[in-house]
Amino acid sequence: MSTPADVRLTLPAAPESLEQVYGMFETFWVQCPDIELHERIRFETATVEIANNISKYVATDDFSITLADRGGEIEALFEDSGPPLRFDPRSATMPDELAESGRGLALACAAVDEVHYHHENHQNIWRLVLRRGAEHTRAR
Amino acid sequence: MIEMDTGFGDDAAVIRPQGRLTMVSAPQLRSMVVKAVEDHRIRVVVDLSATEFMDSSGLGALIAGLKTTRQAGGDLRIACMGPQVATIIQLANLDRVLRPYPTVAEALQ
Repeated sequence: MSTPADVRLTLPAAPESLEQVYGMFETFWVQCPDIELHERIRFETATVEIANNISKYVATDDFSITLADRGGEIEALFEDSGPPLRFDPRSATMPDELAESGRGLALACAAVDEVHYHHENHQNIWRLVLRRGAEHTRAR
Repeated sequence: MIEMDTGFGDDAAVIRPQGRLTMVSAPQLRSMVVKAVEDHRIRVVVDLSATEFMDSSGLGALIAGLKTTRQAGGDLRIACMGPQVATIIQLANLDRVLRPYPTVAEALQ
């Protein structure tokens, strides 16, 4: 069986352009029909939250997203040329239940198995990984 | 698009977000709950049957609406949520404060 091609999109770092991310997922899921619904939901939810964060907080004109099916796992890679971020995404915690904001990164971390961030060659690089068939990502 | 239906009694409103409830559309939901409470409709049900996708901004708008209605002596309830909305509420540990109702009628009781 052939490996599906990566789906890549470069878009302006503005909230209005995030609609394109949903169209990107429609293409990706057609290429990966065997990925289960609960895995799609978690992966798409996490990816949208990182895209939201970049478009809201990173001083960059545009950024790219690449979605890839690696067989046992699916991956989202984000690249932008904004200044380095000064926090560790792994330290994100869910705010108080009555908080009206501040959940995005914590949600992304809760939804997928791995969230990595580093700055390299003047690029912010985020990588999300969801391992397929992992028991703890199953919907309750 | 978000619609508000006020045909459920003088103190109630049903708000129906359609499509995606995200960073772009969440401010409209916040405004509609404020408008409902200003019109003394302090029992607000958010019917999520047509909400395909919600992000953390959508969650924030629901929490803002919950606080707005409770400060007025009312409540905000959610009904008819689909699998993505259920997942994000569970991941955010909000299933206690945003207890889901299976139907709008039950949420209005």
